[in-house]
Amino acid sequence: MKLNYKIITVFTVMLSITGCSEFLEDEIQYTKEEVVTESGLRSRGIIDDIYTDYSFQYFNDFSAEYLTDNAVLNSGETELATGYWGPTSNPYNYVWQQSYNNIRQVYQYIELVHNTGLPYLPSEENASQSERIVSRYYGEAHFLKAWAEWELLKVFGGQSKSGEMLGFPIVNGILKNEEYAKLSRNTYAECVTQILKDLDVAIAYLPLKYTGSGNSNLGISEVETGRASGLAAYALKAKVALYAASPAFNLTNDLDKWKLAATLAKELIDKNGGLKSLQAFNISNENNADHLWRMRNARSDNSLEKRLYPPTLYGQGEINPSQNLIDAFPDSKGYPISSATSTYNPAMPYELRDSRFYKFIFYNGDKSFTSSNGTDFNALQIYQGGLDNFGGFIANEGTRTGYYLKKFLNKLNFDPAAIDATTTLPKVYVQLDLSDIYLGYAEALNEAFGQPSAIPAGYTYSAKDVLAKVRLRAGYTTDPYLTTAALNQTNFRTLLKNERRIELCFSGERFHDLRRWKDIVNTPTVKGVKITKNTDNSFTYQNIDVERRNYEAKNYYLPLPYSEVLLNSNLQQNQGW
Amino acid sequence: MKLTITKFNLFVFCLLNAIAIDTGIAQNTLTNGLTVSDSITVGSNDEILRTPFGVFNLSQTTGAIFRVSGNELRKTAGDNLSEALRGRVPGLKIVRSTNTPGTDGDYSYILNGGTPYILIDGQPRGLQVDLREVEEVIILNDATFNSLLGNLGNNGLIYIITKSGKTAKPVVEVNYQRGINVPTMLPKLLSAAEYATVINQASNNDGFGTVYSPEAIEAYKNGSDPIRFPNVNSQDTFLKKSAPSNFASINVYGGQENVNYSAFIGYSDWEGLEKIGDPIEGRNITFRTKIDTRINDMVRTHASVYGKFGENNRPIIGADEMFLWMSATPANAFPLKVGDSAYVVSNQFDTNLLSELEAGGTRTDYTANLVFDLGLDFDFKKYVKGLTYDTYIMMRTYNAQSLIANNTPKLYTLETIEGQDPTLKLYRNEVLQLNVSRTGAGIQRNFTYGGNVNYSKYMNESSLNLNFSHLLYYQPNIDASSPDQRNLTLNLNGSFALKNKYIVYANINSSSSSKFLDNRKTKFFPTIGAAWVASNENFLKDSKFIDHLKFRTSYGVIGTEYTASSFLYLDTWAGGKNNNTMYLGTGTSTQNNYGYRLNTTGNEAIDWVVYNQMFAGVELQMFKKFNFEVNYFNIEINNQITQASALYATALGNNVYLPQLNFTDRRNKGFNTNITFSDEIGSFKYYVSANAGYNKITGEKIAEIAYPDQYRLQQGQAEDNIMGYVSDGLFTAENIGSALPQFGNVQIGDIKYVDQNGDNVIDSRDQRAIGNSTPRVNYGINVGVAFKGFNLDVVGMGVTGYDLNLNSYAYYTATGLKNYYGSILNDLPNGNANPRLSSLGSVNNYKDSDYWLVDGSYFRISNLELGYTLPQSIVTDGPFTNVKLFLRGSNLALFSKMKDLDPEDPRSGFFEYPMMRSFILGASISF
Repeated sequence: MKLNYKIITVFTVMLSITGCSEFLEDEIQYTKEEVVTESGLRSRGIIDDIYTDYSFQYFNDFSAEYLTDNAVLNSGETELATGYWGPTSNPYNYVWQQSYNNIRQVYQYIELVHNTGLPYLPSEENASQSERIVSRYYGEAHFLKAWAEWELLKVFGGQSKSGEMLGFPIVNGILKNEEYAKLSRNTYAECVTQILKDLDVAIAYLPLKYTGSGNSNLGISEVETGRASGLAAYALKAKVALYAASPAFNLTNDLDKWKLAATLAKELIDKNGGLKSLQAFNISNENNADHLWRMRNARSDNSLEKRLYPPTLYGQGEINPSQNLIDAFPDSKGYPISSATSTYNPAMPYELRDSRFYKFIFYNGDKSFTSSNGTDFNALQIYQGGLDNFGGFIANEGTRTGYYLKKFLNKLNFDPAAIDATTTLPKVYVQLDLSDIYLGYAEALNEAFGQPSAIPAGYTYSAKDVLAKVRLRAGYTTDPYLTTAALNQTNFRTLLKNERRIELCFSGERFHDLRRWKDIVNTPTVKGVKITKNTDNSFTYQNIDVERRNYEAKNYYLPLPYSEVLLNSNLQQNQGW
Repeated sequence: MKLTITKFNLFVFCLLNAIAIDTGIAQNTLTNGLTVSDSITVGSNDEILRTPFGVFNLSQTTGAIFRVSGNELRKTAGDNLSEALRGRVPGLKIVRSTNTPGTDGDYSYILNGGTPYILIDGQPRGLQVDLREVEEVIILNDATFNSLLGNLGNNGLIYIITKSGKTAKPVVEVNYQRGINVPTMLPKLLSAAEYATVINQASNNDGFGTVYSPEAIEAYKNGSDPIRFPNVNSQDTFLKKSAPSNFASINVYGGQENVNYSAFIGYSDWEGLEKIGDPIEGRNITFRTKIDTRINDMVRTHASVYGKFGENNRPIIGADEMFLWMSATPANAFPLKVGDSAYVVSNQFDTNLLSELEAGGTRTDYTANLVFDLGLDFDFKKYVKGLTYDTYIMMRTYNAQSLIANNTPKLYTLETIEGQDPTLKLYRNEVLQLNVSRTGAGIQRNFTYGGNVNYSKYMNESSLNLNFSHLLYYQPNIDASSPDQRNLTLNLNGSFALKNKYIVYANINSSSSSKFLDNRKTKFFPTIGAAWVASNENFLKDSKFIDHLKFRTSYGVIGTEYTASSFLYLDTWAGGKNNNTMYLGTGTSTQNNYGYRLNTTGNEAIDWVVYNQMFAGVELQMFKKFNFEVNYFNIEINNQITQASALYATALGNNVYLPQLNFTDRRNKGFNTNITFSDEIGSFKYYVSANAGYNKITGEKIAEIAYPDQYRLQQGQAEDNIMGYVSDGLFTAENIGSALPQFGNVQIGDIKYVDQNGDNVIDSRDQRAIGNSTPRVNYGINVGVAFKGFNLDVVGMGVTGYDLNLNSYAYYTATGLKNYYGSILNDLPNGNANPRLSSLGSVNNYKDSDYWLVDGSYFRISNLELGYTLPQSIVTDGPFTNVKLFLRGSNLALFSKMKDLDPEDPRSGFFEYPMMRSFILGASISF
């Protein structure tokens, strides 16, 4: 018995003295900082991680389109566009956190990895490759920082209550957590300078573009396409300058700002090898050099088609382009449909229209979108009682405007009965496109010199020449309307704004364009069309009001996050909020 | 066939296994020595509660104790202790959150506003107990006891004692119950014609035109063409009116001088309501054996084994999903079946429950729960009188696995071309799973090692009681990236009772956890208590009406570790290959890029969450008939963990840069009370008892944005505030013109909100506290009468003082053109009209506002027993000592403003199995 007692005593004492301290040392598996920052390859994941924030933001872009006169969502109203917009609500609030987070991550990379001189590959014989890649990552880091800053400037830049044109608080490094609550906004001009400076560093370290096959050009070959490049940095510089010159941010209409915007756009055009024709619009083309910065999907994503297709193509018909946008498409000769010379026939509104209309929009009677495997689809029935309307093929899916969005969609077949249907195809998401820069150049030059057809000294191309390249892609080999419009600064401006609307529709640009042009206050009510099928199989079209738009002068600028302004008394809110 | 045999074999195997373990242990072994009396009231005689963490004299404690005997609890139908405890314990709210047959109900326990810890025979082993083997439940709910389990016991203990042998003569108890279960309520679903009418109305409101023609609606009504115009009542189609269940058990216990033993074996089975295919059906077996043997004068040894083996067969579609499909498929969506074998869906609604139940496949879940414990009790009276040491080790294992046969039935859609009969078009091909697959679902183990040294000394009119207890708790986590639970708790306490009048108590608790660094790993927490038994004073001793009067108070500090599934003191990174990186290049080029980012910022100073608890109570017994008890508590909860991100600028990037802090302070104040009156007139006995608990938790230090609108701040406010808008009815033609800017384009029939800050617009700054989401008060009423062998006992339970937010339940907020339910035919349960029907999902109406709040109070007749105990004169002739026949009912009636959904679990019947009402006929026989 005594033995038993002793055993218990010993056991207890052991546990309580020696055992306990060890028992309380629990270890778990986790990734330590060193595991990341001391590995040549893994540490670069800090930069690669940032890209996803800017990839495949299609639905983000679409929601910005609902704020404009281009479209509505088929299942709900857009609260801010139709009602009161106060300082507590900004759909772009996320940009504040996301951008500063990415800037912080960029500096994490620079401080924890780049500045330690950690090579990409450890072995001696790979030293030159390794150096090239390390340098490229340093360039990427600066491009990504500039991109984050650009988003901040685009969204939050504006006139403060005191009338000063402000940008965002510039942060060049990592601060203490508390110090972020003491930041104050730099001026708009300082922000522009900062972004251009960061982009110059990026240009110095980045290849102009990614070319060549893998082994011959390791680190800067084709397989790296999708990363920031020199051309992307040039393009971003042009865009930043264009915004800075725009009426909302250039209150005195300083023409030098327009000139700078034109100069920087020209720099990109030159670096890209001169004024080239644009390649066909095709979002499945992964080899389009016009896509100055683009990302692609894993070829396993068909969410766009599932959500955007009309009901009879087994989609949810989520985006309904407006009659206003449809009316912006010229006729097949390039004349606006309101023009007296136009061939547009209101009784047959979808005949003889701009080629982009057929590429971007699903309309009543559209037969163009047959499935990839050749199964014929019937013409879309977007009329009262038709299958593609509410109560039709899928009772709760329909269109409020009479149209569905086709731009960006691949030809996929979701018919459940189809055998071996193609349900995914490649798709890219373009952040910086050559057509955008062409349009920016034409706009800036027209504003700076007022003579669209002329070539000012040092600029090589006229505004008209460059816009012609964009219209050429739409099929206008002869373009009498452009020639007429280019006689006059105002007419050219009107045409250019319309071209920009069509070319860049549903990429989230229009909302910001309307703001920077100070046109947003004039945003009209979103219209749609009610189509009735007559007994002789012809159609009657009647325009209807779909959703009102309610903007004031304060909407030139967006509010800074409400809680951030409450917390940080140094942070000046924009005017009107 | 093969499958059936496998299932049968496995079940038999489990059964044999259970019996083998049962008998094996029973031959060799013995119990954790609990000596307790069955009395509900605390008498003046010593009542010693021997627990693995201390020996306590319940009559001389400073603690708040509430006791319910197993026999009382067993007046409840079935085998579920949680169901039996509902409405019986002051301050204890037990909420049922699932009703699927074969599950244990997923009850959540709230005692005085916190989660209590459950101990079986003093051991932390989860609620592994069967109602039919419960001897007594003791609720220890004040600072005196809360500290004893350290980290585990911050909100009171529910101490369950299972039956043990103590008599010389073996007792055998047999119990059998047969039950019928019927759903208490099912949400109303719309008929085809009603649905079509509502859709038309919504569609027309937004100018989209009529979706269903008057001819179609007429056809839905008259059923003239069930293929093209179906009207399927899914609840009638798929659900039976009732389902049976059975419960059987045998309890054997007894003992001799040197050995006590007890054995329990219980069987339960159940069936689901499915009318089609194979319904849910399953069974489980529970057993527990205990043996307590005296080895010599100094040592006793005890051991027990508990096991629960379950088998549940069900359709492959889960029970909750089944109800979701029923609720979310309108009556006119499609005819379920065309011809003999073609299951139909539509492009809009593509789930056909008939196909799934008939041809979807089945699933069998097996669970095995085992708890072993072994202990030694030493009595050192040979050396020091009154000195004992009890110790035990315990291990619990849990395993679950499933056999799955998952088929995809072939589906068609109906293509209707005008003027022709509908034709079938293939929608989905059939996929048959040829092999039964097996999954291991859950594995869990935990170990406990505990013990207590006790020294008791009884002096003239006074007693001294000292305990030193130790507890080691270890629950390994099978996920290597999450911490184990590793706790060490030591307690040193003493109580001294002077002349049975003045009692003082003090405890020093040392809690250790692996979740902290350095000297924070181990912390010391003190508790003190004092009590005064006034009825033992001379001036009350001879009182004719006051039998017992006691005042007591306790104050204690208790620390708990954080519950996060990581160590909060670590800086961690996240990512890996192809993790959150972009796709590069063209074609199918391989990617293999890394993506890494900071995941958490550690706080090396992270510390314990501390509860400063103050309790005070009064116990009173008068005329030997009337018992009253009230307990007040005021608990300061300090250093709760938060990132306090509201205090930092969002420009710092992301919350991952913010360490977790011991920051938030809250206070929980309230009381619980119980009143019992019992009497007998001749052979007529009766009792009436009522209990109630009240509590409110308020924020004292909250990390929040400093809103200028004071009414938005949570500081000083209830923790369960519902923030939202204050409504002012619906817009009418008269006042729509003067509408302030609200959300989107408001129209007549939309909800009008009140401008709180007077800035003439309605936005998020106009949100304020509009209600609270957890009941402030829970209460129970127990009534019983007994007359000549007959007894009738009723338990009712209820809650009040809270709001249900109807905006959280799809049943009430149907919008768009897809799903509508019976709620649309009537006003909301709070009397408000449904806001404007909209096919566009109004951005204005479906915001949290008081328009959607309804008083969530309810009262439920939760249990009733009508019993008849055969007179002894009849029984003694046979081999029996006691024979009782009974009729029991549970969940018999509900009183609430909510008529279509159960306020306790508003998902039930809609997206979940419905709440059941049970009727049981049974008998218990002892011999």
